Amino acid sequence: MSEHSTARRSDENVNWWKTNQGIAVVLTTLFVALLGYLVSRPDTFTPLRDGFLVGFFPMASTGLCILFSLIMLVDHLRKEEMPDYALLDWKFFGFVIIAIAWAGIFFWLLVQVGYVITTPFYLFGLIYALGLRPAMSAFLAAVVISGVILAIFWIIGAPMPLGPEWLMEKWGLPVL
Amino acid sequence: MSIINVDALEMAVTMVFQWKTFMWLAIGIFMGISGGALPGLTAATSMALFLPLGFKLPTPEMLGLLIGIYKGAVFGGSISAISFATPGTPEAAATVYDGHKLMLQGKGRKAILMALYASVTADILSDLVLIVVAPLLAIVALAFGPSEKVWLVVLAVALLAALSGRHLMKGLLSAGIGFFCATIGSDPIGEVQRNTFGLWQLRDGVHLIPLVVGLFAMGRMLEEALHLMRRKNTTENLKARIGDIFSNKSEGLSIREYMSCWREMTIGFCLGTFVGAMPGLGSTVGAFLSYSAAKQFQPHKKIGTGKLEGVAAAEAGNNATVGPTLIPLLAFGIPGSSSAALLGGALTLHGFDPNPRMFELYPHAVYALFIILLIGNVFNLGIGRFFALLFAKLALLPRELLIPLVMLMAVLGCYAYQGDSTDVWVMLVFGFLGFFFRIWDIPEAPLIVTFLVAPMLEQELRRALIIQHGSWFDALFHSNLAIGLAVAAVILTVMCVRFNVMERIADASERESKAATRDVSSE
Repeated sequence: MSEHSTARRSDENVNWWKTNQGIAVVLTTLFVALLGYLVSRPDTFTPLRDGFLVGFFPMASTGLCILFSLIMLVDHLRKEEMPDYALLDWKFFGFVIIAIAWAGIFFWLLVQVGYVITTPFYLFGLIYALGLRPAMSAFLAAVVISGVILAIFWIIGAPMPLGPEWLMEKWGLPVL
Repeated sequence: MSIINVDALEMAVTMVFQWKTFMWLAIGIFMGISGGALPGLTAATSMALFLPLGFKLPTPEMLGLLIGIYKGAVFGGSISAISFATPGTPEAAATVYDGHKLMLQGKGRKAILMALYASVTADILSDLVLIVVAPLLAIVALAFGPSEKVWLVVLAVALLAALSGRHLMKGLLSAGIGFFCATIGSDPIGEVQRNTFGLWQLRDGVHLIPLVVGLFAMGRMLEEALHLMRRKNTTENLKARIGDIFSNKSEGLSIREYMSCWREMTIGFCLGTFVGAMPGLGSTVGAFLSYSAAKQFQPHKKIGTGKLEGVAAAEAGNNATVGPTLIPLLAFGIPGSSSAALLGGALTLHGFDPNPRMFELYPHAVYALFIILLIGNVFNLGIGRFFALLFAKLALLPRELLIPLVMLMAVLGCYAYQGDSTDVWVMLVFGFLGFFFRIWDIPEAPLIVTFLVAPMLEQELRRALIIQHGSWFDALFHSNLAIGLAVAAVILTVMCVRFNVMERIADASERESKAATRDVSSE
């Protein structure tokens, strides 16, 4: 019961693709594509010792998802009041893609050049994007948080690449 | 099977009564109340975020940390509900009605203390119910064969899907996706690789930690970020009021006032315990049902107009679900909620696979869990009592800092889990999925629970088929109990849909919420 569920349709002003039916179309398409992929894999139909096919349960679960999506597609005929997912617009969708990509880039760089260099910049980017101003405060907050988190991970003994391997070895410092 | 294994109990006491276990329990409670007080961080989010850390700790310390977070978060939500009329967690939404009105009357401190005492009282009693009921049900569950287990899982998942949100199909879709994710890796009997999308990194399947961290932490923070970008935080003008709560002028709670709410706490305990033991309903429903029942049964007390009784009913109702939500997990190996699933997952990672034989195979672990549940209440009481002001102030932490902090911990926690990059990429995928779950109002609980029970479902179904020589009908309807469970699964699901149970509860909550908001703003 998230707060989106409280945002209901106003009959005259609703984007169909933001309703349960729109979602159902998207999900049905995705699951049909997934089922197609599973069916196209040769190992899906390899029998196991007890007679089951290797792909039986993956295909069964995908089939169930298609069934549920299809029911959702026609469910408004029964009674469902369609919610308007006001949050879902392209600008915010873009933000989510960028936030995920930003985390991915951060992690890739973390493994390559280490925690100390990458984390403050990753945090600064996010904090600034979320609206904390001035930039110097955002950067200082990023540095402080990075330090605190590093201390916590160091205390619990969790491995974390601190810096570039070649540099750490050159300086005789531990890589993790 | 004897009810109490004294040797195991002694072992459990030795395991638990260590300073490190108490330290992690205190840290858990502290983090839980902090997370609960911060709007946007739910109990499940906080537990998911600390699951990688729990994996690295010995079992009693892990249990202390996670149970502490769970108990603390369920209470912690009431602090911001009372202080700012913004529930820190969904389960504290019912506390807003009377709690915030008390705050506006200058009785904020009284309200927070009532919330704490009612929470702890109901929590202790419900833990005792768990301790008595779970072993007895586990003995019953031992009589179940493969067919019965299959239907038990189907019954639990169907109920969970029907009761987790407004829309049955969304719940079932969530369960279907959980089932699909559980099939990635290798089949549980022959260990033959399947469904890996040609990626060798997925040969061991999707690990629990990246899945839950992605769904509960990354996904939710993405949603929070959108909320933050859409509207400015409204807590600014409330900063001044926080100081009033614990000023010398502010009244505390007398024993007489606490005792005068015994009826509401009893209602909260009874309804919360029942709701907690049912798969899918959860503590939010427990709080609302208890609040509504107390209001209806005692109209002369004028609950809803800023009464301690309202706070007591809501808080007893949500905390009374904490212990009983573990009943299906410990008795049948089937988690009944996201939090129970996370605790069950943590036990599995430590080699204690939750199932009815748990009481035979690892009784010391179960007893340790029980002891920590009980001691956790004392810690919750102490930490909540002495640091309430700090937690109230913590709720003012800018979202611009909280969201990046949680996202960073999600990435680092998944990497620290086993130093495997794949876990981080998987977490990001589930973070993306979790975001859409939130936006599209699809409940996460059926996904995580089905992900955990799917291997059991598959194994038991295949075992039943082998026993019945490949006959599906005999495998599924082998006994009267199996038929009974199948019928119950169908009837209960149809009833939930037919009578729109969740929609009615949600609509009632919305109505109450609107009325409370109207009253608060008019004051």
